[in-house]
Amino acid sequence: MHEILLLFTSVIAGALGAILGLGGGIIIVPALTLLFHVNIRYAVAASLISVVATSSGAASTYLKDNFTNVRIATLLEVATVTGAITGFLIAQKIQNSYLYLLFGVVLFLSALLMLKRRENDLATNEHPWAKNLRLSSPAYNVAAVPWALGAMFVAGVLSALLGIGSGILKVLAMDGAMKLPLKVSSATSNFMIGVTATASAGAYLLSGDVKPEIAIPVSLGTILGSWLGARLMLKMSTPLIRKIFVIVLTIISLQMILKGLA
Amino acid sequence: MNESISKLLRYGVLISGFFMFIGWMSFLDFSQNPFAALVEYQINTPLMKTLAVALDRQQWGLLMSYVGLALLVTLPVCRVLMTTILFIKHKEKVLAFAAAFVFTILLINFAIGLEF
Repeated sequence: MHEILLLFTSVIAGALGAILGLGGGIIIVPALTLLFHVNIRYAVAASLISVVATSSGAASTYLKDNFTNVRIATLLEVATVTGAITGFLIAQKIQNSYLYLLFGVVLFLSALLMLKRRENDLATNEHPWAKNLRLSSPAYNVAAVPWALGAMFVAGVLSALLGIGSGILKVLAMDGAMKLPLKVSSATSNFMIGVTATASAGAYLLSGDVKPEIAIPVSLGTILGSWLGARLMLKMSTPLIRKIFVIVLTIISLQMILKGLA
Repeated sequence: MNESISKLLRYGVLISGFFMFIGWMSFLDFSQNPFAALVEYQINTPLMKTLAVALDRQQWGLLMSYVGLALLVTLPVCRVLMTTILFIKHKEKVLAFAAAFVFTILLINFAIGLEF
């Protein structure tokens, strides 16, 4: 029965991950370690597979409905991947506890800012790079491209240093700096996180840390959940998605602060 | 472009899901806790060795589940390759270069086994 319970937990994780553009790792890792007492390394490996499953599962729906901006995702992926390599190279020289603390505080402040942001606060002017690369759509303009690239680089570095999913920073950068509609930010982040996660997931799979007995129910559950979540997100109101995002962001920021203080 | 990538991801997920489901069914056993052996971390056998042993013992279910997992993990890489080709086709030089850069990094990563 453990497998069925894990399958249902993964459906919820996949749905929430698809709606918020974060992947399902924030639910999968605590569920596997606290509920099923699985070792953290196996849990992280299964969680990375679940992020790839959520990303690929939900993206097919978001792309069809034009919520995912492939042009923005392609450009920003360059910064994320470069940041991840930088993070990997400097990992040995950095004291992680300070980073957790700093990251936790930044996320908490971002949650407060995000709560204040109004839905009609979209970019009025298009950034020149966005104009040259035709990143905007008839429904919205794209602002502050260099800032977003910088934030994506930082997201990549932190993801490599702290082992956290970088979906949160991706959504925050697209929502806050580029001023994209939240549903576009979430769908585009969801599209991008698969690429970041697949790099690590591949390494875990080759090393033998991906165990089929947990990775398969997690994958199948998150695929189902991501399909449900993607359909649900299209029908949900943006303020509701924003509220859920802020709650999740606050929980993660507090976890990071506690980890940093420990 | 969106339609082509959407189709790749949809069919990719369906095919990998099919392999994983069939593989999973073959070793599903409700009479015991399958996670009991995963409480402590053990030095693992690399994937290639596990596959060789499974092939030798003709454990087709286990092999199918690994095929499904491998297909799922490589799906984003295929997506990036497809994006590169589509941007080249549409003569979008900057975005084609960006996608090709990400694709190259992913390939290098798979080759040397970095963990992001």
